[in-house]
Amino acid sequence: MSDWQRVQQLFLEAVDLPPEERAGFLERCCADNPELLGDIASLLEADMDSGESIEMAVQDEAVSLFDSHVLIGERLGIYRIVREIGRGGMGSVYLALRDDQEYHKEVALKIVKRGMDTAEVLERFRYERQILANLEHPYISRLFDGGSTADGVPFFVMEYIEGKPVSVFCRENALDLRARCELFIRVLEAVAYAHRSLVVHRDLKPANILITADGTPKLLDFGVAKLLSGDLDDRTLTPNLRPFTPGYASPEQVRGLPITTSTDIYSLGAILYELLIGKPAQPIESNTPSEIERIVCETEVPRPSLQVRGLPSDLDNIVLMAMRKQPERRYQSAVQFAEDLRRHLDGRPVIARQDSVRYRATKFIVRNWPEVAATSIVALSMVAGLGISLVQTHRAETARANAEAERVIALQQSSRAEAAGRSELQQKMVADQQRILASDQRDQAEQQKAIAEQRVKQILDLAGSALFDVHDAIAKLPGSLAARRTIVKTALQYLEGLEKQVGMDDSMRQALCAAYYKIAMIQGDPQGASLQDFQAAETSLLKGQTLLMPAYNRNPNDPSLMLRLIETRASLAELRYRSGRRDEGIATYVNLLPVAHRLSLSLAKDCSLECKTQEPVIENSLTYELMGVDPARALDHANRGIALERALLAQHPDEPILIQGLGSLMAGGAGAYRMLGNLEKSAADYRESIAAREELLRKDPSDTLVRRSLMINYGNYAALLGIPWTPNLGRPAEARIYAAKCVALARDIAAADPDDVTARHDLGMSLSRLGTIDPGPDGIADSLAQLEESRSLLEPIVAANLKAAEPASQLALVLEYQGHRLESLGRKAEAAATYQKSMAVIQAFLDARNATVLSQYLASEQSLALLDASNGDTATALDLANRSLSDAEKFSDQAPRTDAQTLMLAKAWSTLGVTQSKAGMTDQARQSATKAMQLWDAIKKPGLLAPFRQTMADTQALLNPPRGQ
Amino acid sequence: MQASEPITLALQDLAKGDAAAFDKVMPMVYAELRNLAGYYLRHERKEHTLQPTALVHEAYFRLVGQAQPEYQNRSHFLGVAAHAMRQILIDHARTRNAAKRGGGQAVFSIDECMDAPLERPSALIQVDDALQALEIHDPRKAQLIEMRFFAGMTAEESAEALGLPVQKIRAELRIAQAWLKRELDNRAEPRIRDGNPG
Repeated sequence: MSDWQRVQQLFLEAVDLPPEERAGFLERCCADNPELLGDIASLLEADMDSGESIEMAVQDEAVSLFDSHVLIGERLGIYRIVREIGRGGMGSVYLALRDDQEYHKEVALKIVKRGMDTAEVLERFRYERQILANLEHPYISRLFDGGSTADGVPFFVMEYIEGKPVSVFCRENALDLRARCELFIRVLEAVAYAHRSLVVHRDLKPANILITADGTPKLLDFGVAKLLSGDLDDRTLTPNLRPFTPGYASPEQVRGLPITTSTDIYSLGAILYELLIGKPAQPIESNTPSEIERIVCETEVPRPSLQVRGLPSDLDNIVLMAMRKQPERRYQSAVQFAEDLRRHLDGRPVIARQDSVRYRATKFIVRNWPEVAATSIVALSMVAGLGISLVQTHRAETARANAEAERVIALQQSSRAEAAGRSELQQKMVADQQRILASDQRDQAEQQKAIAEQRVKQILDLAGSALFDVHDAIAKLPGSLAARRTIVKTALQYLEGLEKQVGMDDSMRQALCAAYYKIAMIQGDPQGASLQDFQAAETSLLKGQTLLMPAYNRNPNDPSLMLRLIETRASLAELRYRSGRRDEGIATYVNLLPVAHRLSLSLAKDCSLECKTQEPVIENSLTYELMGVDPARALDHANRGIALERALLAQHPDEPILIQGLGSLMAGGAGAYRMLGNLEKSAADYRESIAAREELLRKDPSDTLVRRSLMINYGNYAALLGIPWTPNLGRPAEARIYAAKCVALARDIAAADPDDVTARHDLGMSLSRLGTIDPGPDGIADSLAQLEESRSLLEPIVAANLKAAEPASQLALVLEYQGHRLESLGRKAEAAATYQKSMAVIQAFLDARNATVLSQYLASEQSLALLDASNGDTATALDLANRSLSDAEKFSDQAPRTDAQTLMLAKAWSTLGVTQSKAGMTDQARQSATKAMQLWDAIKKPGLLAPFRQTMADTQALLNPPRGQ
Repeated sequence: MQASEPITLALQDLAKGDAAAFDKVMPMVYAELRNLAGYYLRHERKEHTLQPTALVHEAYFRLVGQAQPEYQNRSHFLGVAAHAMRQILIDHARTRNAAKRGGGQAVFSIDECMDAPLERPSALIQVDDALQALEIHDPRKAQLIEMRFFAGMTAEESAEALGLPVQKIRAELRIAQAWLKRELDNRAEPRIRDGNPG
């Protein structure tokens, strides 16, 4: 007996037994064969299936098959149905011929699925008809007609398009990235047109964007989703019938919230995503509404570049901006979306940026726009923009009024029919109807007002971004200063005019505040290219803040208002700090922390990353601003920021913004530890920071911000390891490795844009670090060459910034070390001249009470003194050493002294001692040396003494002169 | 009636146990079923849900029944019709499924993907896959399923068509249904596991 027969036999025997006896029976029969037992047991489990699911499967397929053939060859009014060309959840689409006497024309005829309320759909069609009929655009398929079949099923007649879905077209024609973007820009043009006509698509997806054989896009089904949705005026919620396609539907759509043009922007973002990487942004396998909602509303869309190597990060940002969860944070219009793509294609900076990381383009391809023209373009675009917005508002009103009139007629007709049989109710019904109409009109008036205000805000934003673009484009042109000032002046006049004309509601206040912020950034962005008019920038920021505050006070928990406030105040803090009002700046930042904290907590579900990262970003700013004055406090802020970033990273692993933020805070913590003398902890933090940035750069080698951060990291870590003029770990060989990495990155960055002054400054600084590390006996020539290159880069920058102490001090340092290397090579005359040059470079800043400048000046002066002393010119040497000491004392006369001042004094005494010893003044030398040693003894942090080891040994030698010499 | 003659002869051959006769009957039944379905739905679809089993019986009357009042070949006809119906439906389901995956058709529909996830891949494809597995394992049981679900045949009708005792048909059908249910459940399982890696 084969197994299968035995299975059957035992199965049939078992099913005749009462269920409770079956298990025992099977165990007895199959004791020797557990496999057989399992087989039969599972069959028993499946027994007594009604077969209903199989019946349903057969029935469903039969309905699907027979229904699709039923209409072929039939006539619907003037249309004859030729064949089915598609079907879906909402119905079927047929190719049909219009064959009345007049002409023959192919059309697509969409028949709505049975079961939808015909009367309602058709009423909606009448309501929308005029708007849809006016939608005439070469890239949009026309909706011609609507009606119902003999048995009452609604249908729509549309222009017939032969083409392929945009995704298939791109794949089959192997379009490159640029061509895909170009094609998509045309799609955006069509959507922008529809939006201007106040038609939202609601169901954009690749299958609704066909590309014809000649490459022309054709958008299908504009307005159809609305006809089928029961969602008549965007105010009512109808959760039962909302045609949308998971995978392209926005969060507001899957939640059944009101639909706006932003809904289409989201879908377009999802489509562009798919075109860029060849597969959907968020594949949705599930059929359950809650699962769909969870994926669409809560799951962050991964950056496209994580899936396709080498995708430019601008495209990442563009797609992700369009797909933001909150509608108001997406592109404000399809026009803006298209413009940003265009900017990317033209190599200009895009407005889309990563959440919360200030995007800073390091290079511009500046086109030669005539300055005057540029100025007038801005002025014109603002005026024209305002004009358009008014025209659009007017059009919107007209369309709404027409639609409303049709609706009133329809309502009256139906009410008449109903009332005919019951005349006693007629009066009441008419009254009800009037009430409904009155409330509708009120709603509509409010809606129109909202639309008008929305337009003005959009214009404001657009004007702001246009302003930025033009400004950035001409900023680097020589002599563009006047034009840039004119831009700002025009913009300010425009804003002031607007303030007077427009009602000051809260959203307007917010928009104006944003506009003032943008202007302030042009006037004096504390961190970027600007007109350097910091006072004017502060005035603009204050103005923006004044406008914002009433709105903020009314809604202190509105995230967008909080963000605006943080943006404005953080820039104020930065400006104050940088203009020498350090305490004021720090206080402004500290006061912002509670707001940022509240923002991070305020929206558990909808809160985007931008809301949550504000707090660590402020902690980061405070870390760096406190570093110089209070490293312990700086460390405190760094550690708090680090804890916040780590908590966020646990929720959003691999999020580049967070990794970059953590890297920055770790570097800040490392700096603070170094200032506090804890060099080992500092080194550990630097290594973590470096690891974070290296990881980021591997993921996106084109990210200039990360590249520059990593370069600075390498430089600072190298300094900690073994740069002699700062507390260090005394590991010059390792230091040289990291300094060399720093130089290599800096060279890359500088090579990318020869006009970038910051990049050249960075390269100069990197080379100065590499050159000043103890080169070892074989590296002196290399070191000299590095310092020479550094000098050649820094000198023009110092010459161009006559008032800036920092670059001058750097140049002086480079020159000092050039002197040391020349001395090592025995070129003493050149060395002396170089030390003198070093002193000359910073002499002008000496009364600035800047410790860095002073200690550099003294270092050069003392180097010269020691050189003179070793050359036998003891008179000059003594004179220099004494002057050096008196300068050091002059700047250290306030008690208590800082460690830096103590070290400065010790070094001065030591130099004097050595010089005196060379001059044969042994007793004085011993006294000076004693003074120096006492001062060094007062230093409790051994790391701070590291740079002075050689000097201390030389000084000690003065106290114990070798016998017999 | 002349038109029904070839099919009557073929059905008689089939009743005598000539397996090759099945292949002669099949195309005729297939064509009739298609015509019938189209006609039916064009003219009488209001308030009428089309049942494939009803269609199969209707086809019998149109092809055979009018010429042969006695029912002797009816069950044989239904057996063939069950297979034809399965073929018709599964062809449709597979074509539809291929179209959905973008399988190279020239024109794409306007709402090809509308509600795409809500319109699942045809359940019939899964049934057919499982049924094919059963065919390999035990062909007669697969045939019994086909008769029961695609032509609505009773156990008695199947017994007559296959020349077997009704009791045996009932027992086999019970086994076949349990086997198919288990197979379908097993095939569905991997999808559940997808959501729960590890």
